[in-house]
Amino acid sequence: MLGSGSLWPQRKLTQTWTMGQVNNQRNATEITILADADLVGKTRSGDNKAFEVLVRRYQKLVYNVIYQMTRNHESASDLTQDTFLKSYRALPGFDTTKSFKPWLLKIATNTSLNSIRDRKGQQSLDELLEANPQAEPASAQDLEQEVEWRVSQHQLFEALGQLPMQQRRVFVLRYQHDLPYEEIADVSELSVSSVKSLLFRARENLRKILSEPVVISK
Amino acid sequence: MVITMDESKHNKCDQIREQLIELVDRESIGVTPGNSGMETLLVDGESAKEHVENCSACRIWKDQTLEMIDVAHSLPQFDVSESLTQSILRGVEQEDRVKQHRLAWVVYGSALSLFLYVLLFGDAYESVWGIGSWIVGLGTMIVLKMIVTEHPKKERQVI
Repeated sequence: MLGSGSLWPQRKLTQTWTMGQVNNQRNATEITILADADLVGKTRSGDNKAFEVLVRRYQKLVYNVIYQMTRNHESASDLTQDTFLKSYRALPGFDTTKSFKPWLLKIATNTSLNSIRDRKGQQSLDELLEANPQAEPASAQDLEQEVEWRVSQHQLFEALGQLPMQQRRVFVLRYQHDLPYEEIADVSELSVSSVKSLLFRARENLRKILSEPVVISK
Repeated sequence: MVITMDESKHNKCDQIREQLIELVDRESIGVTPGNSGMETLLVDGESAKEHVENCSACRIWKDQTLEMIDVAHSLPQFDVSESLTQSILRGVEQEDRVKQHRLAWVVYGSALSLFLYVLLFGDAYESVWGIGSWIVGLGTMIVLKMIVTEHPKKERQVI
């Protein structure tokens, strides 16, 4: 049935399908390199693929910031999901002249703080942010001794857990995720000078905690 | 007020540390003790590098702070599972459906109100205008139905 003449339409059909695939691939690549503001605009006009790109771009950052605050993987997963749903709902009101990342992180950290506060009962947000297990800024003399000072990732992680939430948040955003002061100020709804002051206290508290002798239990 | 030698030295140490940390924060990753910026950083005519070499307290402070920041940069970050990504996207889809239902209720409610208005107050059976208003009402319902059902179809294709 298929003579040499009948091959033509088939070949044409195969070629068209391949080109379609190439175009789809190209469109998928193009959308992933779009700037946040463009993706927000596309999402607003009903293109949910654009929101998927935003989710994939920021989910790891959001998850890890939340994890540092909650110290629990299950809560971090739930709160990451909540964060993206809240941001999707709030997207129509987002000011596209501003940066998307700090806006998203603000939602993430506020969602985490509310969840932690709910779990801890009646504690107010200010109390929660300032609540501090033990550490106070150390005196200069305590720390400035010529001792072997090597910090492991595990030790720093544990020490971070002892910082008040506010200090932990700015330290993690600055030194683990490399956010500039201005963006941390946006996320925390503080002034840049307050961020610097919190960072100073966080560093000094961490140095104190990390300089304490480790007690090894039997 | 008399400032003693100790107080003056302490103030200088504080200033040096404050500026050093600004330098570290500006240069961010890859900052190692003894970086070039310290030479140009001057406090009271003395370079930060020179001060740190002569002041053991500041030298220890600098080494400890830089090490802590280095470790913070290298803290492990957890990858997000595909199942979490998919559940976020499902949540978004669900969110759209809820919004769609809400819109549909508003549209159907408006259409019903219009229908009842025409039926009860529009003298629908008694004139050409009455018949015209029935046609307008029917047309409006069809258009609104098309608007409501068109949007979710498009989204299903995208997701």
